[in-house]
Amino acid sequence: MIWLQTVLLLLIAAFGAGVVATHESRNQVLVLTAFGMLLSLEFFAAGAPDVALAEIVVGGVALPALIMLALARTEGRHR
Amino acid sequence: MSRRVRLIVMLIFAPAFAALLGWAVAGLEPFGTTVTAYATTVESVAPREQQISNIVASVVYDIRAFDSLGEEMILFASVSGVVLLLRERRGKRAHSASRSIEATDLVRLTALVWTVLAVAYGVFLAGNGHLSPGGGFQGGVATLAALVLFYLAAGTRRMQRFAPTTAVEALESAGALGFLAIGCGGVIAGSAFLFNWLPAGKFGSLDSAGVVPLISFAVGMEVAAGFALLLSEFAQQLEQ
Repeated sequence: MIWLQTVLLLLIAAFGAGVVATHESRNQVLVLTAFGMLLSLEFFAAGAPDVALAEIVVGGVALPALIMLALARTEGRHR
Repeated sequence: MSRRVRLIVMLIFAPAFAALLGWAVAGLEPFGTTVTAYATTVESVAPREQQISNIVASVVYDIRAFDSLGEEMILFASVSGVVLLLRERRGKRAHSASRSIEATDLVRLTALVWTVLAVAYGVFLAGNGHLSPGGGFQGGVATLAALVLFYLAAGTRRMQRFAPTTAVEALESAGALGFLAIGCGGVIAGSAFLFNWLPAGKFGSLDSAGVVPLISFAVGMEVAAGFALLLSEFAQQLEQ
């Protein structure tokens, strides 16, 4: 299983850098969500399904939803 | 700060940080091999004394329940803070016409089906935390996923009818107070605060593990309602 975790950790590092490198906010939310899903896979591979579940719903639903709502609000004001 | 100064500061601190991080990582136990004394103790004690099969839930809602209570209160305080802040701002601005966009039929249908499934899964997770992976927090946020889907399909106004703010606020407080009340039950039973005072029951059955499923359910209520309140406040900001 060590190879799986190695691949996952490398992907997480790549996506983490990707989140920082993405400049358009809406795209950034999508990359952040993908990053969260990879994190939950790693938690699952590391034998922590409880944390993986929490990360799936927080990183996949709660966080992007709130950021998207906040973005929609602030962008609407600038227009 | 100019770009040049920032670069110089970075060049000084980045290697220092990398060196410290490397030093720390070099001192870690080998990857995935060490089992601590605490882990072995909990693994043997929890199933025997509390009849609980999910060791994580045993740690979170029984052995270290006080920590979870602290986390609950942090969440409760943050949600209250955000709501206070957003309502204060909303009061100052005149209401304008709604500019929400209607969802397409396909989005509505998909969201409706998944809303039902997400609620069922959330309640299952919150109620079965002591038996299988899951627990109050996971179940609470899964239930919130249902509300996000409902919002996407139906918009703010219908969400207000589906989950009225007063009801959501009451649920959130009931969850937080429920945790405290179960904790006080330990004191009334003649032991410590958050002591597992209910009978442990039969290993693997739904009513096993004493107070763990009750606390888990209270946490689920608090988390779901707290996040729902955040979502509805954010959504109402968007409406103006």
